[in-house]
Amino acid sequence: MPTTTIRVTGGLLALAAVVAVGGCANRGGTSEDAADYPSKDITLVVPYQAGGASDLAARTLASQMEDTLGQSIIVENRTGGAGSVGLQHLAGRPADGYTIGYLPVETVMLGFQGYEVDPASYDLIGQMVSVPATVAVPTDSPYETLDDLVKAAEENPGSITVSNSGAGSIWEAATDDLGESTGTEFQPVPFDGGAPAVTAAIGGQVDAVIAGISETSPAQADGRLRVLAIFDDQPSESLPDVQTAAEQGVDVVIGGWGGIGAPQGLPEEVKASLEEAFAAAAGSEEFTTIITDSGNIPVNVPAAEYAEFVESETDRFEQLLSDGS
Amino acid sequence: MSPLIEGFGALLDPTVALCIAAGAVLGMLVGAFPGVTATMAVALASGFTLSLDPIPGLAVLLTIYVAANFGDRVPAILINTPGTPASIATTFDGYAMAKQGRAGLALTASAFASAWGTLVGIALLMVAAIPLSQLALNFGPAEMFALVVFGLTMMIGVSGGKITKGLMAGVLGLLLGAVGRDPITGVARFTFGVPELSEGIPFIAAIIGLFGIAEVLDQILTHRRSGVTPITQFGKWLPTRKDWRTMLKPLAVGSGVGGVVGVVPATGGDIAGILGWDQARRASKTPEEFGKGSLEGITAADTSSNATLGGSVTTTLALGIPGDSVMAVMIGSMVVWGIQPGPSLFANQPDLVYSIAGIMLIATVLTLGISLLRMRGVVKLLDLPRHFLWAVILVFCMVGTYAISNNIFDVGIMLAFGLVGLFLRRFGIPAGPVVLGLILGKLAEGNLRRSLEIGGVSNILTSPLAMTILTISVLALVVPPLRESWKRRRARTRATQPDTADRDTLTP
Amino acid sequence: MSTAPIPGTGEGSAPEAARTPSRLRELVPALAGLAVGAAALVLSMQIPEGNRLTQFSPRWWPEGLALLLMGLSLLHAGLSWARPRALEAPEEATRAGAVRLVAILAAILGYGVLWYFVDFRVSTAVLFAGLTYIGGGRGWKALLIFPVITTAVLYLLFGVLLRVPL
Repeated sequence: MPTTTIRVTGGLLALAAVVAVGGCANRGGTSEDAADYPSKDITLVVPYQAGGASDLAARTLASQMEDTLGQSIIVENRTGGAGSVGLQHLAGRPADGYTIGYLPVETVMLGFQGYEVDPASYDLIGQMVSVPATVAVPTDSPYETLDDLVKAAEENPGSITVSNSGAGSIWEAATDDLGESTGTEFQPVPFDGGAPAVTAAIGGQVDAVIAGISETSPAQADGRLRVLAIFDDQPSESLPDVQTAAEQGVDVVIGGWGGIGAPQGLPEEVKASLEEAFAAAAGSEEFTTIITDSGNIPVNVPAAEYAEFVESETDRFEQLLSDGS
Repeated sequence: MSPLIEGFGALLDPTVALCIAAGAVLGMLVGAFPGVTATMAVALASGFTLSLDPIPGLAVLLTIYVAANFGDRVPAILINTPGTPASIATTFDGYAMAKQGRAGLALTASAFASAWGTLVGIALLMVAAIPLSQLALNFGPAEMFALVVFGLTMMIGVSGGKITKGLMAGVLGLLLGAVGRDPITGVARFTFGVPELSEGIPFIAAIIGLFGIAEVLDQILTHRRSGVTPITQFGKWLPTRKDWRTMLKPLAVGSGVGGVVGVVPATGGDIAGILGWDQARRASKTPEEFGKGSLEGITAADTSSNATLGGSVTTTLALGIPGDSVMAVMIGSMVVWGIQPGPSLFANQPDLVYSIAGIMLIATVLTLGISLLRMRGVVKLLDLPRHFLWAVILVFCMVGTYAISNNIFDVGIMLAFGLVGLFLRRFGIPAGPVVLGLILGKLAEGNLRRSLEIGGVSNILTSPLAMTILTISVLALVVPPLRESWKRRRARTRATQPDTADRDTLTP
Repeated sequence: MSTAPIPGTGEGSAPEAARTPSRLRELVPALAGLAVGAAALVLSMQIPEGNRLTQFSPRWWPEGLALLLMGLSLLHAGLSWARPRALEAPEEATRAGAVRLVAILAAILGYGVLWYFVDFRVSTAVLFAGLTYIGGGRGWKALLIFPVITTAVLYLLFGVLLRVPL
């Protein structure tokens, strides 16, 4: 054994030399002086799979923020647990600005669904994307307006089936919200993902679907779905003929969103430079074009306003998710 | 005709050729790497391809998609580890063939079958995309539930003759599939407060453990210094004329099964491979060989799982609904390029559809070529002494599994399933039904309950499509034993007429 | 794997090849099945109902499966006791093999700990060397060159190309 140990140690030295070309270790690291932040690569944690809408928004923003910060931003997809795994990982990283993360609407929902996620564990940098909810029906549906749909539900509460992307998703919550605000009840049918939920409505297996604007607007454009309302405070360019719910007398504004945050307790200067880089990136033409093309709505909400918004969202979901029974 | 010429013509650009070549190499590499799936590779590549034009970008992504479905067969055959879930059924006969010293034939037959399956799928895409995609829309929760029930009848087939043990394994798989948040109410089941389990047991980690790791652990446990290493020769490489004739029927069966499964949204090559394998077994003159190194078995599995590719692309393009997880990622890229998948795509940009088919066609031919050329080098790996091979398989599987979600938890699951697989193996319990249960469990329960939420039991009873499939499922369960006992009785009273003509007619 | 069944096992006497009579051996999977089924049943009965009442309780599916598994296990125990069959016995485990298996699992566990503290490139090379040593590899090629090369390949592929946070 001793000879082996010596050999192994020798091997390690050789190995270190071999892989030194591969770049420096990207693990650990003590807090650097905040004044010369950033002095090394920054990691951006995305709690969802590579290739999805959240990942696209995060990666696009990251490549824009690199320009201002002058350091590489490495996107890390830490998936699982409906996003809670990645969010918990982010919360547990040192608050030195070298780990930031993508915060989806689930950040304020998961805590009320049995996960250990608390929006207070993050310093918020800014919000960059908004995905308002929409309600759509098959083209041959008898319901022409949101009012028709609500009336049908009032006549026979629970008879109108509304598909959504999954149990506990924001779109299921939106279905409950719509029911509560109109004093009636819809029957949510959770599917395994947004696309199957939209398909079920196109195929006529359910009466309606509640999904994000990026999922319903293409189907409306080529005549497979009829979007009845958009749950936003203003109409969207991608759904030009569709009124908001408020315009139709139903005061519901709900949807998904995405922003950037960091572990709570960032040094002031670090937070300031992140906010500055964020604002420049979220306002850049490249970012807004890509997000618009993907069907969602780019926004550029600064930290303070974003923090207020997150607070109000937390209150909303606390109500919506805990009195579902 | 002109969109066809225009579409194919767009591929003459040398950049496209370069992109296809790069995609092919990358795709085969990630396919061959257990744990790294085509979905992951396409997702990561799409980060780079967004800056390209649509056609070269699609060339990279689609070629990765096609090539990964060739590359994943290699570890399935050589080390019993599916490179991606699509090659689960390849292990059934491929590894058995390799152990018999027929790895060469297994690899080439698999490559030819995969290529044929892909081509059938592409042909479907070019000829019948719109009507096929309309068919897909008829698959609501009730119909999906019926289809999954039909899938569950395969439990018997993949039990390899050990019915009670096979069914026990299948039910264990279904139970494991129930781990995670409930699909309808969202309450946690069997998660023990572990957030990683709330989306269920990580599937890829589980299959790598059950097949690959279990095999290595078994070898470690039983290896004798004096014992001969099983795979030292690869036998002949090219199928003989007789082999080709044997492969004809499974090629046909696999194409049919894969084509249909591919069109149904949210089902992919993993289910299709097993389904094609089981249907070919039922249709075969030598069903007892299946699972023990049957050329028919590997041919059917690979044809079927690759025939889903065209179907997935079809539903994706014609409906704007991702046909599988790779396509879900690809839709994201296409939308950013300003290509909106959906029925209007065929009306507005028919040339683009042909370009896509053309890319897949070139990719298939190129990948088949690489597969046939390169195999001899790859199989040399198996000449390595056991201790190197074990270390490489164990560590590469661990790192590959870690990369799925960048979480050690998945590696732990993989190792745990390796031990479970070792236990199953030592007591002669087939692992195939466990995997089948894992794949189908969530789909079965989710779709059943979804259709109950939509319209109660009558939602299923009033769907002609669902009831037809359910009837076929019952027949698939009942007919073979009846036929068996009838045959036995006839054999007992056998006096005059020989029975040969009626063996393979009762395929559901 | 698919060797011909041993003659005479129908009577439960298998003198050749030292194969265990199937009766006792087959009880192991049956008992394991019963245990898993019972555990699953107990756990499923504790699953809470969701906020919203549904047509089909979240408990029913796992409960049904657990009962089914227990039933099948009993059936299997009964059948294999009544009609013991020749086992397609897997290759016999060796004592050295068992030691090797435990050592390899321990090495992997150790790696999990080591990786936490030491850089991936170092810990993985150590693991490769350890696994090779346990597997029977000796000499500087097996314990030095091989770990370094394989680790470098892994690191290039995953750390550099795929940008996996190792």
